[in-house]
Amino acid sequence: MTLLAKINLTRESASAKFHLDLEFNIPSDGITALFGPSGSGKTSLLRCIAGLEENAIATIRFKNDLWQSHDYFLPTHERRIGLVFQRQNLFPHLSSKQNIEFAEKRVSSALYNLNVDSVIDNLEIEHLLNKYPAQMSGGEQQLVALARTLRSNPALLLMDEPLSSLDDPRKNRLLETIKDLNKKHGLPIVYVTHSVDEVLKIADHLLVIEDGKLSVNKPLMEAFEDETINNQVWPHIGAVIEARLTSQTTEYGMYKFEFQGGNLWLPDSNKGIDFKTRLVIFARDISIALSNHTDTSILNKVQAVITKIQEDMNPAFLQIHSKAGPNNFRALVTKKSFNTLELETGKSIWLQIKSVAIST
Amino acid sequence: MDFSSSDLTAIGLTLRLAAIVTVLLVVLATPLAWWLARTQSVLKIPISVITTLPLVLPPTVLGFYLLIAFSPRSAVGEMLNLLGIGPLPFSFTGLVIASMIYSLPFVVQPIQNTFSEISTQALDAASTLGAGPIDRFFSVVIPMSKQGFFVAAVLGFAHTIGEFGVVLMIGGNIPGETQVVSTQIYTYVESLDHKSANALSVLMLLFSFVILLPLYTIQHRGGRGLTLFRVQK
Repeated sequence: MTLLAKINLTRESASAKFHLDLEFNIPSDGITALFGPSGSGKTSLLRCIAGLEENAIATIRFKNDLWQSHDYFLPTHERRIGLVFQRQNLFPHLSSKQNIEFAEKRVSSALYNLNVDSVIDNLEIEHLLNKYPAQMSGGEQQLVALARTLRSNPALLLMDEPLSSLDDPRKNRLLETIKDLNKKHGLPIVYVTHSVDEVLKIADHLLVIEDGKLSVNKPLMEAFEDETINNQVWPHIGAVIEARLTSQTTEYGMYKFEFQGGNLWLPDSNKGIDFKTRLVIFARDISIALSNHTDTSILNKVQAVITKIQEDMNPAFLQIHSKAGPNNFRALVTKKSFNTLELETGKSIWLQIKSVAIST
Repeated sequence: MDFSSSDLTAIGLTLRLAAIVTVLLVVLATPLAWWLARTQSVLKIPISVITTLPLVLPPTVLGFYLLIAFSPRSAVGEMLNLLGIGPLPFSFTGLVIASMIYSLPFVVQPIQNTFSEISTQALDAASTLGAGPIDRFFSVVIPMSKQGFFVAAVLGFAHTIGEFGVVLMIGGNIPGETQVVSTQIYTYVESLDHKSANALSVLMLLFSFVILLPLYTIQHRGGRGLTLFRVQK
């Protein structure tokens, strides 16, 4: 099952001419991150999928339903999409409760039923229900807007940088909620963002759009094998690993995460055994040793084989690419150390990892 | 201050005229205002100008042409006659139609202003929540424009009550049929009955003050109020 889109849109204003011309066919079950710099056409693309760009010449098919083709146009209100804008989603003349009821009243299809009561409870908006949008902060409005969208029983959720008005703790909590919506409730999501952090946290699939054109269309984990993507999209990331929490030492309060190719110890995790997560390591936090040192404070060491050596943007450094199991690592090493260690492709090394972040 | 029975008839007729004109105008101006607020057609500018014309034209000019148009021998007059309407000159119906044209800009402008302030995003949000075009208009556009409608109705009503030139041209000054307060005052002045003219004039003055009061109260409270003729972007 896929979301297929072929879109051609030209928009001209007095000052600028913008052209969106792209085509993709992406899995319709996960979370797709639509990534790109501002002005690249992310929002326009989302609006085309929603049927809000009247001038778009497009073919859009979601699963088995044709939404648009050269001679067919299913209007937005019949597409069963939910759309959360960057800000000011709510109707100013209605209270939060009435905003949500606006959506509930218009649910017509019984085809598919999203049971999201628990998700909405988690948003903790009870105390906001009688408030009007003007009486709430931007972040609070976003929570209500998400609840409203979910109540409209969408088959596809489109989100346009929905977290930009939220503070960090709330942002992280809502990211988890969004992930749950997909993983537990099966709601497909297309998520527009220009934050690498958000992409790494929730995306299963990655679309990168630059200047109206699609430059990347890949499952996220595969995207890490592509140097161009690595250099352009996340130049600071050393590795992203899908790992599973396997054990915990009570003595030191550490948690062991296993992945194909090694394991990593992390402090503090509030999750239980078997929790699957993505671990993010920055390239500058990886150093290289030729043997498994035991006289070091660095706890996390992963044995890997060098696959490629490349120039870095900083001429004093080299990027050392290596593989442990199926996972790719990228370390930054000075040319001086590189010569001292006599590194070369095929050589077995130990990656010493100073810090690891759990992405969700 | 006491009013003669012909004064009371004129007052009643004036209120009836203003009420009918206001209701009809609000209903008819709404689609026009919507079109003007949203269209990108090249016709927008000429239509806007035509809509605003009654504001600057001398009422006599407007009244003169309406009189010509309504005359039973004109094409419009003959058509109306065939439809069983008419003759319109010197009738209450004729007065209603003339007043509607005369007060049109006062009703269209405030509604158009609030319509153009409604963000596309609000309408888009409504679409994604399953609201079709008509549903969107009644559940989002109208409630979000309440203040504009209020201003439009008040101004349309007040302006209709205050008109004189068009009434005289098209309606004559027939008691019970087309004699309104303003023309009644004119009659009194003509016959040098300043006392009666003053009684009605004071009434008009008080009425106008009272009716404009809420508009400025809204504005004072941070609402839109009386921002009548803004140039549309």
